[in-house]
Amino acid sequence: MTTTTTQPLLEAEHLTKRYEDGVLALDNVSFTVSPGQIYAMLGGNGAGKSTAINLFLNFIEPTDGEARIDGIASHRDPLAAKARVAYVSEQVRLYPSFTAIQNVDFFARLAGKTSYTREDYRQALLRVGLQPEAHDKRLKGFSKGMQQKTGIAIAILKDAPAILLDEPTSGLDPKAGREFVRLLQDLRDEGKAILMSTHDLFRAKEVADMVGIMNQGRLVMQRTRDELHGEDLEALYVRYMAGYMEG
Amino acid sequence: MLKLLIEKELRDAFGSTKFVVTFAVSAVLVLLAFFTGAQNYHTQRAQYEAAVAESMRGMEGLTTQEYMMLRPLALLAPEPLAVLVSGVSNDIGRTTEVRGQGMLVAEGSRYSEQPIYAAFRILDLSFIFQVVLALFAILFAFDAISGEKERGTLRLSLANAVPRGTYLLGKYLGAFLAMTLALAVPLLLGCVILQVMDVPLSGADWGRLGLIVIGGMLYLGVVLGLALWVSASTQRSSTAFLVLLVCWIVGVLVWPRASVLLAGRAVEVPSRDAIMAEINRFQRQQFEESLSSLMDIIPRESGEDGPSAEAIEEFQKRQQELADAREAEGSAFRARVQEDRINRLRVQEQWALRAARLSPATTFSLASSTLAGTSLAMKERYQESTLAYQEAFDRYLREKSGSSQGGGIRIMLRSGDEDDEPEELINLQELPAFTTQPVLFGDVMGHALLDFGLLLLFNLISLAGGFVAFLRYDVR
Amino acid sequence: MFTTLLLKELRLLLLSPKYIATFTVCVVLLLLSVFVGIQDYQATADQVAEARRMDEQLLLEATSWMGLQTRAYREADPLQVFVAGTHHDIGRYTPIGRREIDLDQSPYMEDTLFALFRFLDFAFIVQVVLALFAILFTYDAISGERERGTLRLTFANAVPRVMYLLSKLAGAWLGLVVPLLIPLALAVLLVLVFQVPFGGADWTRLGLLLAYALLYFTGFIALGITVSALTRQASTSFVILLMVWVVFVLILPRVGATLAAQSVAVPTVAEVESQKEAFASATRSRFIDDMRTTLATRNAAMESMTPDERDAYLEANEWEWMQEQDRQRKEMDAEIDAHSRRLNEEVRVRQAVQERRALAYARLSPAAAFGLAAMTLAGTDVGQKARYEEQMDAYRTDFMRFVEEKSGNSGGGIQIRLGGAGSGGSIGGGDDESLDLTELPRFEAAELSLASYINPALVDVALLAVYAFLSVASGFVAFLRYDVR
Ligand SMILES: Nc1ncnc2c1ncn2[C@@H]1O[C@H](COP(=O)(O)OP(=O)(O)O)[C@@H](O)[C@H]1O
Ligand SMILES: [Mg+2]
Repeated sequence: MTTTTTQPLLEAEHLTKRYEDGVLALDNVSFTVSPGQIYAMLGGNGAGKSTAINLFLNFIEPTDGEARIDGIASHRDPLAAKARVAYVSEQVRLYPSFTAIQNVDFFARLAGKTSYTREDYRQALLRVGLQPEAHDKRLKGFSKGMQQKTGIAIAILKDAPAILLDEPTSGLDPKAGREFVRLLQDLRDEGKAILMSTHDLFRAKEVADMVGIMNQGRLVMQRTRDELHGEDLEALYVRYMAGYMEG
Repeated sequence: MLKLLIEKELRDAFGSTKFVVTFAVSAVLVLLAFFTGAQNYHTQRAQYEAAVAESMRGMEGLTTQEYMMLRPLALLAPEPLAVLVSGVSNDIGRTTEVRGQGMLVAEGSRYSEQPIYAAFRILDLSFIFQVVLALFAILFAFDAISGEKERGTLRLSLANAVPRGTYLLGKYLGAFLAMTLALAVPLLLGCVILQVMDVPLSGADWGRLGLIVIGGMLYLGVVLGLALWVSASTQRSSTAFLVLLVCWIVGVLVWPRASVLLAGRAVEVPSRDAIMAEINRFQRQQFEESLSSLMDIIPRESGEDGPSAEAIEEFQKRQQELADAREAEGSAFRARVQEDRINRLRVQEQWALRAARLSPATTFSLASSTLAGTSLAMKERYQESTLAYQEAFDRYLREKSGSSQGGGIRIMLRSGDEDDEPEELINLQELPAFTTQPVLFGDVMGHALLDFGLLLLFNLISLAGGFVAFLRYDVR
Repeated sequence: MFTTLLLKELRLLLLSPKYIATFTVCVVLLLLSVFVGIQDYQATADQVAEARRMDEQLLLEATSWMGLQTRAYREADPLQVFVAGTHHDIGRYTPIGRREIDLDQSPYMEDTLFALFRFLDFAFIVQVVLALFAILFTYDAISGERERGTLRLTFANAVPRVMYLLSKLAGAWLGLVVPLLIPLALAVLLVLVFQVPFGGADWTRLGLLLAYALLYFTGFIALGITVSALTRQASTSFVILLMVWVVFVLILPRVGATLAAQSVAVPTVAEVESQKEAFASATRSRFIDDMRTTLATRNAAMESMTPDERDAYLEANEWEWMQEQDRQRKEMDAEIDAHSRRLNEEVRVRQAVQERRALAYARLSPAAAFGLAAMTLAGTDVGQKARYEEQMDAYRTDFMRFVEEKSGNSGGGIQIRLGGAGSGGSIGGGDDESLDLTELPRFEAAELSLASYINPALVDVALLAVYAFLSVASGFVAFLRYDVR
């Protein structure tokens, strides 16, 4: 598992975001994610992870720099950029009056995938670990984790070259968490470029090909899997957070 | 893409209890409105026919000597569409006692006769659309954008290559279609009710009813558009609802009333009493003059048997000439006195309605009552009909008796020998019958066109506002 | 502890955007309504005064007692500034003269423009808008706290449920009273500034109106809390409450009236009028026939007499005959009058049945009960028309008696039938001098006692109290069993 040197799919270049109220949420951040690579963005609450992902999706405009998907700057041509990326939000909540299948169907079609059959939807839902008896139930009674799984299935079905995951494991039980890690690895092997924000150090270390630590809007450390090999990520994390505080 | 979004909206709507409940309620209301409307129509029809019959009976037994005592009533017939869109039909006088000449005053509005209905008013189709369905439309669309945001589905949707304009249009069309589908069934059933209960509607009437419903849908479209606009301008759906509720209160309940009350009062119109008093005074004067002039020409009794037949005829002719002259004078005077008031009323009406039309609810209400023939024009139509009837009646009188009923005082002379002749009764069959001018389809359409145009414009404005707001919407 | 809870409620409420919205809307609407109401009242009062002046002028110009006629006007009640009720729908005046009383020409018939969207008054605002705000204030009282999780937190402490619910009730109540009282105080100022003639009894009535309003929205507040204690989600309770509001305020009253109309048929004025007319003309022609036969018999009796005998005979009997004819005519008039009274009575009874039914259906809704109580209080209720017509009828009797006395004194002249519009009837010939009108009775509406503004609506007030009590009680029952998780 080596980092490829082909054209990166997700690129952040001098990405800077200052909110209207003056908060500098991202401060000149640059990184790239190539096909077949998982990039784990680590950082505490308010570090700026979601801000970065929102910039890729053009939910907000960058103050400076740009976020590119497959070479397309998100804020220049948002529709083209968004056609090439799938997204799982921090807290997936779907249409409560729809069944899981109906939800998945709607979002798949919205993504332009019209050729899927019901069976495909079932497969995808099974793949993310949603029990078959829940497929035709309305989402009203779903737990947080079940909704999260449905959300991940939606992302898989979009079959986009890049995937953005904002703290996707929140709300998943340990077993589901483990299955999720395996799923991510499969997706990577299919050649997807995956950007995942998380504060779960353990999982990050397990799957990530590249790890970046963010603190107060800055990318304070970035290591490849190989570079990390012998090191204790936890210690590094604590040190960088603390070091930044002092500096 | 648009189709998919609309489909999703429809499914979302029909799956939600909120929608099901609101539309069950509106279905019941619509059916109730049609049913009670049809019943009311028949009651009114029966009452009207009884009144017509009674008025004829009241004139029975008059002899050909008593043409001057004929007082036919011009009764405003109930119209089938008026029970669905009552407009001002219950507020205007429905009975006019017609004299051959002189001023006519309509009496007895339905509300004044039965104040209990004035206190509670009536459940009709236009009320249901204007007030209840508008509220339901708000309830239905207030969280269209902000609700999706709160649920998080907005992010997920817009993480795809969906243009925002398409997304909003999908919302609008989806909501509109859902409401149309939900209303179509009770409305069609309502039409069946009208058919089954034998409410006589002509082809043109059905056309007008159709247009009223279309107007109603256009109005609901405005409400939906506005709801989307507000929803796309607020971050929380509860705020959106609050804003919309205030809009509803103001637009539906307050503005129509306040605008007409304030704008109407801004134009001063002389009271009718003042005008009536002036006319009364003039008439009294005329009356006294006519008395003395008649005294001059009254034939002296030429013997035991009273005046001769020729003398009477001569007198009648002279008398009629004088009466016609006075009547011409009188009506000219009335016209002069009333003209100013009528002009001012027009201006008042224009201002008030112009101001009132700022609210789509008023625009719809005016459009529907215009189409139903129960707008302010109804009063004028009735008035003109009675005036036309008065002319016909006057012609009839002159033909039959050689004299009119106008022009102040009349003296009836009889020669003694006529007494023995058998008295002949007036043939009431020959009396012209009163009919109201029909509501002309082209006419009302022409008048309603402005309101339809306005409703379309409101739709466009609210949609445009929604687009602008949504393009700048913070979807995070 | 209660004060802590109450203060928290008030703080939450006062800081919420809905409070600001409510407050603004209430102030603007109430002031607007009172302003419009005052204008309308003054216009009405001026109109009545002006019309009376003109009538007086016309009376002065009259030269004969016979056929003298005038009008009686319905007067404006100062309370109609707050409760317009049926004021605009009922006739403004009735002719007083030979013709029967008929209170006709309502303000809306004359100025139909204003009938289009009807009136905006205090009672309407309370009935519709304030009730809606009461719901808005309370729909999430319990379910909302549950959703936010604060309910569990609260009940992790030793808080009695009853006290908690009381604080909710009191908080919402106080919160809503303020936006009602402040504009109302301003409205009172307006009333004083514009010099609407408010007497002591009128102030009492205004105070009572406020009390009714408070009772009415207490019911809605408690209802809101009840429903919110019956549901798990605030959005559900809101939808339910909105439906309840729509049904209570917008639908039930109308449907009640409409259904009642269908269950009892009341003849229209036109029908009754023609029936009366038919009876009158039948009676009159009978009278004329009788006269003819008597005349014929008398003529027959005189046939054989010599002219001298005839003159003597006439001399002896003429007075008596005239007396008899007069008596017969009076009898006939009385008969016609009695018949039309009977008809009127019949119609009134049927109308009363219909009204009672409509009221019974409509009163299922507290909004209707409040509306009725308020109208009764302001004297602009449904019965206003009947009340006025009765008084006007009594006045007409006085007026006619007076005129008859006078015209009897001045003696009859020639009888001439009239063909012109305006005054009908007949005139006496003779003097051109104006009449001495000092003793002519003038119409004045009887001053009603305070009780007569209150008693007819006691049912409604009692109903309001029952509704309020029921909703408070059910609120307690629901909340005591509420699952606070
Ligand atoms: N809409 C906003 N307006 C102002 N500041 C914001 C906004 N959204 C986030 N922030 C601030 O930006 C910083 C980064 O937030 P975020 O990217 O959500 O952090 P993370 O996802 O890493 O927890 C935080 O300090 C947060 O307070
Ligand atoms: Mg985050």
